[in-house]
Amino acid sequence: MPTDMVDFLPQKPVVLIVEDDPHGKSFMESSLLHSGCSVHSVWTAEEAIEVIRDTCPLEQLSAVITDYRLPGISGIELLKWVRSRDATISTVIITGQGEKSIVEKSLAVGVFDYLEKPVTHQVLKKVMTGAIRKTSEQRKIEADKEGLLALENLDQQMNIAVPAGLGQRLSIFYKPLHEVGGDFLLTHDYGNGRYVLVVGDISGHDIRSGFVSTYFQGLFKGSLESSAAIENAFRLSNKSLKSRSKSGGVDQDLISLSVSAIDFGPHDDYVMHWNFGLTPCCTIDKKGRIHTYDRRRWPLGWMDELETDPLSILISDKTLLYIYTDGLSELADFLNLNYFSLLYRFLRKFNAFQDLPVKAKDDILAIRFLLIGQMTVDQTFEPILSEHYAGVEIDHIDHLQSNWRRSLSFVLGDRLGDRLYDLLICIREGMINALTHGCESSPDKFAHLQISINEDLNLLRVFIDDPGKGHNFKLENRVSEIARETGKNLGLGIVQHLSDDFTIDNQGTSLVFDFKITPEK
Amino acid sequence: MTSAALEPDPASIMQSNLEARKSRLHVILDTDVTSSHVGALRKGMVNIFDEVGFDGWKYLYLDMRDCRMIDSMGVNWLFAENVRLKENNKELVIRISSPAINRVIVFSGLDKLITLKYRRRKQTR
Repeated sequence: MPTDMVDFLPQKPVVLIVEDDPHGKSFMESSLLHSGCSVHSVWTAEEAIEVIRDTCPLEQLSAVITDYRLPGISGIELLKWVRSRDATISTVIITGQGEKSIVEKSLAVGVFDYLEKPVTHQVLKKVMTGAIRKTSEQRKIEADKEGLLALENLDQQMNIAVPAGLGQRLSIFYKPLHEVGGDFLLTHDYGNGRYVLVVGDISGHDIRSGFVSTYFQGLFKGSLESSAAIENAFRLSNKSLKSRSKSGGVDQDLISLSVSAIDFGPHDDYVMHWNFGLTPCCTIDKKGRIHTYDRRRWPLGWMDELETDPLSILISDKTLLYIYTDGLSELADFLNLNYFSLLYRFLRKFNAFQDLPVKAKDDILAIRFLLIGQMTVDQTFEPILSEHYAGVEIDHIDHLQSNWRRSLSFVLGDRLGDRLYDLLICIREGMINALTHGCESSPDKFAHLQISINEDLNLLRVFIDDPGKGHNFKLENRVSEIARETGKNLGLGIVQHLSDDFTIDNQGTSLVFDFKITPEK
Repeated sequence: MTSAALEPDPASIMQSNLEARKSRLHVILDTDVTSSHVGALRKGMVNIFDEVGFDGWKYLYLDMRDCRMIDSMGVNWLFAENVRLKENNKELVIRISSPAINRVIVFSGLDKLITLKYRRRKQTR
């Protein structure tokens, strides 16, 4: 038996033949059997439907071939019915010579190919081989899609699953670039209210990173569940990564692991923090100030020796802690937004990601952890902008202002109304003061702008800090002098006048002003 | 600031026309009145006075209805222009539509020295 028609399939293909002409039906049966197929053959479309329903479901068939002209339901109607139930199966229609309109109609409803009578063995074999091959390819694609979808769901579940005790305190945004991401979040419950959170990012942007990530998640999970300290998981991962790179395998340039982790208990004054190569973690305090902990070490897999002593973050008045992977800041740069504004929207509204005008180029994983369990996120300040500017940036103040405006509008939409311009004027005045006086327009001195939002208070708070020496004046007198419209310090006077609250701290090197989020003052 | 190199061409951010019948010189601004543009605005105003002279008009109508923002340097420029106009026995009338600009001008006290015509309009730029 010739097998060239089916040698790409693991088993014999099954073809359903529908032909009301006895000679034609007999010819096709013997031709296809000779070509290595199994066949079901019937006289009418109605019988074909019965066979598919009762004896041989579509998933068992590799192709359907039918004459166009049949008593009762036509061949084309039958093929439409077949395709509506299984879009992966290839169908072939037989027409009379020169029936161009039937051919066009058939192709329009998704028929794979057509044959004109009289049909020869060679032509039938060629067309049916193509049809069977196409069905096989389509089913493989469909299976791959279903598999990836299942994998995507599993990946999402793994990264969003949180122990019940953390449910109220932990918010997660996870958006992998592919079905499986190289970023991961792992939580471990030690019992008695002590937890470990691990955010990891495997190097590379393709789907391979996702699979490597799964390996290291398992390694961390196994290590933690065997009651080992988190430091052991770092060492084990580092060792594993180093041994892979030394083995000289094809993936040796693929793998390093950036990881940021925290360990905390219910009565601790401190959070223990480790960071190997991930973006710095940050916190925000009750007043709305953002604190960054830039004590990064190399990613795991880069160095033979690993220092694993943690950084202790004093909780005190800190309310929220953020950890995120570099995909967030890359996307923010691409959008000309501050990454905190993206973070705010992503953690509050998942759809914000779908609304973006551009696509991310890396996985994004971000977590927000409420350090004080008795509070809600709405009661705290959340960061929406944090930028450091060198003194020379005064020359680009309009450009900076456009970025502030873009980030503020991204977070607030139209909630500030015309007061957006009051706010921009105040930030501009404050930054001009900080960059020209505090930084002396120097490339080596930096001013820091932070903006936070408190939803319960319906308030924005702006901090502008500069590295200047400050002044020896009494701050209270200076503020009241500004308020008297003396003409001196007009810039700061404008800030005081337009904002809802204004203070000068640290001998004049820190400006803090509040804006109620309302279109009217 | 050292932004001279970035300064726009004055002609691109302000236009003028003389309405002799009403004794008005109209100057229309197409930019925010901020530190980045004050140099160009100052030069532009000098160019207009050179071209139009100080005869045939009494009031300078400065149309800032398309402006969204003003900062302290912008306010200082307006004060300076008002002084120059007073020296030439002219009156400054400023038209604005931005509530933010209104608040800044009123705070600075400039509204007591000039005629401020404010009709609020939602900012669209």
